[in-house]
Amino acid sequence: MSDDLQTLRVDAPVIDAPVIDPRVRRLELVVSWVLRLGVAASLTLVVAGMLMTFAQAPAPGSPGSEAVNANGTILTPPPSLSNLPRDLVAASGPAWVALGLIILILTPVMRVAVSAVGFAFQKDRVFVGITLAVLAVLIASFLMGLAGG
Amino acid sequence: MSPLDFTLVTFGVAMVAGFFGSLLGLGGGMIVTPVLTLALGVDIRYAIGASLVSVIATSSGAAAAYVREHKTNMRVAMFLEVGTTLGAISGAWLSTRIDAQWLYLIFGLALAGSAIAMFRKRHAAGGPVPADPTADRLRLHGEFYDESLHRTVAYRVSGSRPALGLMYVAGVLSGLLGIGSGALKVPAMDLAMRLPLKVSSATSNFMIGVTAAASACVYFMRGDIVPFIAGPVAAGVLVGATMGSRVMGRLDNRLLRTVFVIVLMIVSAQMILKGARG
Repeated sequence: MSDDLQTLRVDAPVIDAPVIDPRVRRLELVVSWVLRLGVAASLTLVVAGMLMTFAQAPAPGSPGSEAVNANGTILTPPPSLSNLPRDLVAASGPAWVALGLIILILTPVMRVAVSAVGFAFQKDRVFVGITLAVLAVLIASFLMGLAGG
Repeated sequence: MSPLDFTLVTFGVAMVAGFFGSLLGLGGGMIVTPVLTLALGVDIRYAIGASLVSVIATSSGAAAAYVREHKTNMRVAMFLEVGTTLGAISGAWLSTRIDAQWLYLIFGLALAGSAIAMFRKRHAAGGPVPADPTADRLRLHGEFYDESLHRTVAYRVSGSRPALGLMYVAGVLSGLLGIGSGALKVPAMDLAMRLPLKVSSATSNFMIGVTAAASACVYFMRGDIVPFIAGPVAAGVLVGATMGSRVMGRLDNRLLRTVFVIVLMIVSAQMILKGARG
């Protein structure tokens, strides 16, 4: 094995760990970090938003309590992107949950984008192309969604 | 049922779904959707929206660990995602143009076939893998540390082209039927590409999030992703998937395969019933 190809080992307490190219290892760690960050942000916002929703929920029998369904769901109008900033500022619980869900939906897209950069660092043109193709299809599907399916 | 009860029950069910989903490379929709619709009386539209959220949450929650542990084969995943995302967008386009009812039947039968093939493979040990020039050129082969065997397992990838075609089909089905399609991805990697089951599961986990994200935007804009329902699902699944990803590596491979085959049979029966009831 050449000197420039330093070997890194996976961080498990094992004797017989696979030998991984450091540039490949770095991409894995960055992708894992992007996923963790997305998960942590989304979980925090969803939990905070749910707590706010309960704090704001009308008491049974009071005006507005008809929004509570028989099965216990509190149905507020579905979140819309255009109203979201206003509702976030107004500290509406469902809006903060929706922001957490949007971050959750965007996390896989972020990790595809990061992978494209990582493959570029590995000077792997074929995989940069493959990754950008996936990203392009994802963006096309998002535009389709924004245009109303 | 009070809103608090609803939230806690949904959170608990989602945790179980996330746990099993992360072990098996599935999205957990086959647990979340029936419980929401049948037990909790949620409209099917919102249940499907929540199940898409559950797929993405399982994927990101589990893949964070699997990528770090080098169980996910990122090159295989990126290569196959070309097929799944193109399939998902075709499926979303087709969904407003064709009647998908009979597809449940075909999908259910395909899953039953995969379950039988995967069950029969339970005693097959490694063996020589057919040569695959595409896999060689794209350097798809890999290795991972199997905690249950206490050693590194090197594996060679086969059948990458047919697998890419299967992934396109899996993507079309998930776009058409609003399902995660991990149930098709894992058998395709197991049977066509001959990956070790833990690698198939970890790689499927990594991929399902991208496939689901491609359709989630459409459902979000339609207003099918309701914060009060999808919120506790997301939180529960994220917690469950993180727990499952800690366990999967240590599981005995035969046990993992048996559990997968059983779950595949259940999903297959769900789909066949849905298609027949039509």
